[in-house]
Amino acid sequence: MATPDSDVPFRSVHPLTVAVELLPRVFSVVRNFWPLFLAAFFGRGDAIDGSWLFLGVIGSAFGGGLLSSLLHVLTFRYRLVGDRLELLSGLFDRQVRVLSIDRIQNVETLRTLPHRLLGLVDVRVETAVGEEAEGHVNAIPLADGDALVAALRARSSASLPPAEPRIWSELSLLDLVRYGASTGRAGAAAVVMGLLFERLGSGDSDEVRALVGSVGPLQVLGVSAAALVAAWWISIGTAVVRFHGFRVEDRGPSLAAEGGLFSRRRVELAPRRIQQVTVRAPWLSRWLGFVTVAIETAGARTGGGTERSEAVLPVVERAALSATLGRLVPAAARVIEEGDAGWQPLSLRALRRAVVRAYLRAGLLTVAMVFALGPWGALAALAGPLGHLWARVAHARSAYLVGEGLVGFRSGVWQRSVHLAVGARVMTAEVVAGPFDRMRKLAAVVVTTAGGRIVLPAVDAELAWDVAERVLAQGRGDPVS
Amino acid sequence: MDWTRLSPKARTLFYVQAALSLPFTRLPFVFGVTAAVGWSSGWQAGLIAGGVLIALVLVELVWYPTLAWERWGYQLREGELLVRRGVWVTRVTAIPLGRVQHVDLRQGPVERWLNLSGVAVSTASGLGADGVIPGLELEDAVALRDRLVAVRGDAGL
Repeated sequence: MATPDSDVPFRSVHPLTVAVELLPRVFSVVRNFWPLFLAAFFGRGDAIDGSWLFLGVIGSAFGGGLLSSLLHVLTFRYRLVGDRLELLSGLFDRQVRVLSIDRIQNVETLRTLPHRLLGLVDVRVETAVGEEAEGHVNAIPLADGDALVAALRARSSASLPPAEPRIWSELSLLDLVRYGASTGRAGAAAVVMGLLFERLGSGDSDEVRALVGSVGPLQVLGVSAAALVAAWWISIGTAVVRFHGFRVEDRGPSLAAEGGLFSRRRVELAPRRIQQVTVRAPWLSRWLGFVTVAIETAGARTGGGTERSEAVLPVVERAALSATLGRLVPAAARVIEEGDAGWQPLSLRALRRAVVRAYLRAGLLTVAMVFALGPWGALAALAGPLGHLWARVAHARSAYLVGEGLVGFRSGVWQRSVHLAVGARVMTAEVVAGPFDRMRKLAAVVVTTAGGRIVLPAVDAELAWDVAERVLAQGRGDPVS
Repeated sequence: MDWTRLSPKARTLFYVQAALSLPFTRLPFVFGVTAAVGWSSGWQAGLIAGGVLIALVLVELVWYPTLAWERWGYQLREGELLVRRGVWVTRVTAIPLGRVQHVDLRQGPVERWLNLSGVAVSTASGLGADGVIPGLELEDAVALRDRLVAVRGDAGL
């Protein structure tokens, strides 16, 4: 297939790409044919020499991965021509993908351990289409990658005044320890408990029975505390591996965030393209004096190492939050500075529903506990007033905002979060009401941008459409009361 | 609000679609519950459970498509397309016309037989079609598609 500017030569990827790409491609084969691998693994037996069959299947996966990597190296070509990036791929089904540079949302570079050992880099270019990076230039020499990113940056921001890069944010190891300690530990605790059960399960059954029989409340407390501490260490370790050496460079029209211990990920995004920001503040991070800010553009939402958010600032000191948001979405900074001004409480009907549910749950729990424990089980009735109190606090913390060029929702008692979408980026507004919502005359307003969605739950049904209209007015740039 | 309804033939479309989906959606559930109850509590209990579930499925089959047809509607305003739908969970979706990225016309075999077409409107939200209107007369669907794609505006990116 020919392209118009055929005088600009295409560049190919580095031959060592085969080595870098082999493992991910083998994993991809295994992921696509996982039932076959499960069947081969569990179905192996002496009758048909199943171990050889299993090895054969694994060998085929490696062979498939190797062949796929070789084909990629032999057929993939790229070039930058004028204001577009052209990517050629495929042996039998040849594809020419042309990406217009002014449509690029983010440029991301990734250097895993093999990349770093071999001096290579992956460059991923994301537009607003689909859920994966549209332009993926795998494993090219570092110098070529830097040149490609620099060229993309220069052409995408040609109309904007250039600025000398400066370090905008930098995190120390201590910051990452603080961040890791404050992130959710439920998953890590589950892993620790799973390992514990695995260990118990593999032991001699009489020994395990004797061990379980001799365990008292103190031991249970000790094991739980140990699991929690272990989970804490896992969270801290994960944060250090993911964000080691994290720093953000301000380049004027764009910001470049970079971090990672083994795999260095660098993402460049333009603040003018930001669709949403989320400020997360779990109780421990509030106590330690920082919050986490997640940034969403219209780029890839899954896959390709981008996970959900295009960029995350793991530690932003409370005192610096306003200035940080001001650089990203100026209106968000004003909203944070003004505190409760402009925020609307959720419907009182939602509070009444939560209170009724709390007492219903407490009633059911009390009946069950009385049956199980006798009169002492009646103490479970205290869950009712406690649930009532919790519902009031949660209701007081929850609020939505439509104004200041933003649509926002804040919630949470322990794990507080504020989601803010740029009003001018709203794609759709939807009023949703399930049967139980309609019984209580409630509705949710769901606001979608290209960076995700924000749900304003439990709005009075008679106000919901008015809220949706005000959201749409933000997109049109109409004045909003 | 003045809503444009689907074609009256869309009711037939919904009935046919509901009947065709029965073997893949409701019936396996009915057979599973019947077998489970019969196995655990005797064949009489299984038959009763199965009978009740089949009666519920039949009531749904008769009642749901008509209600879905009545609830579905759209409104093309100056700046937005509104789409209303839903029986259990009701939804009204507003799509600013300037945000429309592309519009699909969709026709399955039953729709072709009835000379109907669905219109699917997508923005850059990345969530697939943001607004789907099934069961329009083909010429109405084409006219709506043409009006939607004629609008130029800021894509919001």
